[in-house]
Amino acid sequence: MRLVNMSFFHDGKQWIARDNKVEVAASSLADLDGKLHEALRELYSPSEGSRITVNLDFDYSTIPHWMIQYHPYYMHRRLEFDY
Amino acid sequence: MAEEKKWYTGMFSSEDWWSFWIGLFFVLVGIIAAATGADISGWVIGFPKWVDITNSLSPDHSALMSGVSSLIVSYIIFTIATCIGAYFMGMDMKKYFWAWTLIFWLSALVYILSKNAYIQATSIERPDFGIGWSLSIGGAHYIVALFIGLLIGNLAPKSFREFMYHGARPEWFIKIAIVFLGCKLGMKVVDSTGYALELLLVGACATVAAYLLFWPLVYTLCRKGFKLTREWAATLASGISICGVSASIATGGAIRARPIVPVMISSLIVVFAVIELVVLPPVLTYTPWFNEPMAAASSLGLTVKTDGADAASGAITDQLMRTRAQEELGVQWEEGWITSASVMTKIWIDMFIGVWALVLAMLWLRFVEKRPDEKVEKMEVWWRFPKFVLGYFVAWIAVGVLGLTVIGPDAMDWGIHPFESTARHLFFILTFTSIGLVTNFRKLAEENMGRLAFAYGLGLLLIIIPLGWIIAWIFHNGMMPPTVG
Repeated sequence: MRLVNMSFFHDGKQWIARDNKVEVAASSLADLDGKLHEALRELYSPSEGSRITVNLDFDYSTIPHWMIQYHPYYMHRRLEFDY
Repeated sequence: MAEEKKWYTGMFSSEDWWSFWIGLFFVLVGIIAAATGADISGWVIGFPKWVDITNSLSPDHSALMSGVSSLIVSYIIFTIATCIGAYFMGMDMKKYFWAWTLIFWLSALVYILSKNAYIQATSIERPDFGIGWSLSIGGAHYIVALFIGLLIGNLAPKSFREFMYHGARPEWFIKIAIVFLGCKLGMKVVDSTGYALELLLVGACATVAAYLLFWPLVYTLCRKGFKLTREWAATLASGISICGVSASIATGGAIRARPIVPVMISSLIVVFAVIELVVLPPVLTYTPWFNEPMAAASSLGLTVKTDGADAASGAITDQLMRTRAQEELGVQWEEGWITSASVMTKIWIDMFIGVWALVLAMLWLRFVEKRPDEKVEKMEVWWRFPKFVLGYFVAWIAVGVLGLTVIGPDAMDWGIHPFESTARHLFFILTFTSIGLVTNFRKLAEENMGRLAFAYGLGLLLIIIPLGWIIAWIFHNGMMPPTVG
């Protein structure tokens, strides 16, 4: 099982997920997950029946600075892609 | 690049954890002072009432040094402590230092001037000061600090306002003060375990009742009455029902809302919290709620969102009610218990936010979004848990247990009082100034805010305040603050 750690944020129009190897963008999280699923297939060529787990950590620095003192993070997503 | 989140993530990089570290560091200093008799805690600056301005400053242990020296030493030590935290949190150190310095000295100046006996002395205290009249406005320093902050935060040039944001950390300052407040309950355990535990228990009961009633009612109002979408309705319902900005961020994250949703709602929350902070304390003090001071204080924990505004409104109510009790009843209630009741309820609300976010995330992903690929991690409960609450309880237990056993109550009171009371008041006034600085009423005029603001205001007036008052009365009625002596 491969584990990938990525960050993601919302630019006002779409969700964007990225690490130093891949970047995908979509207007909804469902679409983002679908694109990410395919992008990781192309990047890592997972064997049939294998799984890639993706930790998506929201880039909290995109939240207004004054709000950060109220809560430690926005959201953390854990996706499990089966191939 | 993102790293995998561990249980200890944020331990040295979040304000929440730095409230824990700084708060407990000073509590430890107080305990060491109490255990050894070495006066390493008495330097904390206090601001007594005065008619002669040369008596307006005094260290907690008045024989230790002069008032001016105490003020300078307090500035230096608290500056070092918060700068260490700011450094590890990755803040712009230069901007933080100068903004903090301005806030500290501005707050100190307001504190000194507002504690004039003609402004704050009660009728009973007037002979002590040799004065024939006084306004008897308990807590005037808090109100003045808030308004000075609001003036700067709303009317100063934008570049200056944005500069001050670097040091205006109301949540950080109030969380440090709340850790100090834990010592207060620790000292109370020394005197009377039952009362402190009763306060803890009824606070928990009131919180559960509030969670179960507030959220569904406000969510329904937003969905049916204002036709808000699920992401707006759920985030607003949490913000107004639970713990304000923190809850709106946690809920927005749990339901995978676009970040603009909690950002806009949080702007509303801080503005409404300041309005409540100004309006509710006098309303509670000068109505029949005065006869139920602990219930009134608890209602603040249920109705005033954000920890800073809640504790701040508790502190003002504490001052106003004690002044009125002294004036009209001739009774001197112990300082801090009304504040404690407002904070205790809020702390319970804060503690459950992680559980609430976890439940919402599971329901949302399974039944609303229907995303089988995404898993919700149980660690959310810990990651979202307010860590300063741990500091509050550690301070409570450590002071209580050690004060009852090896150190003894008198020595513990001598060592811990500078932080339990004097430093707590200092951090409260820093909070008031900072709340004013970060509250921007212009936000209400922004596009699309009107309907949200109306929904928020209506939810507050029709659901949160009336129900909060009823719940607080049910669980706290008959409880009175202990009297001095």
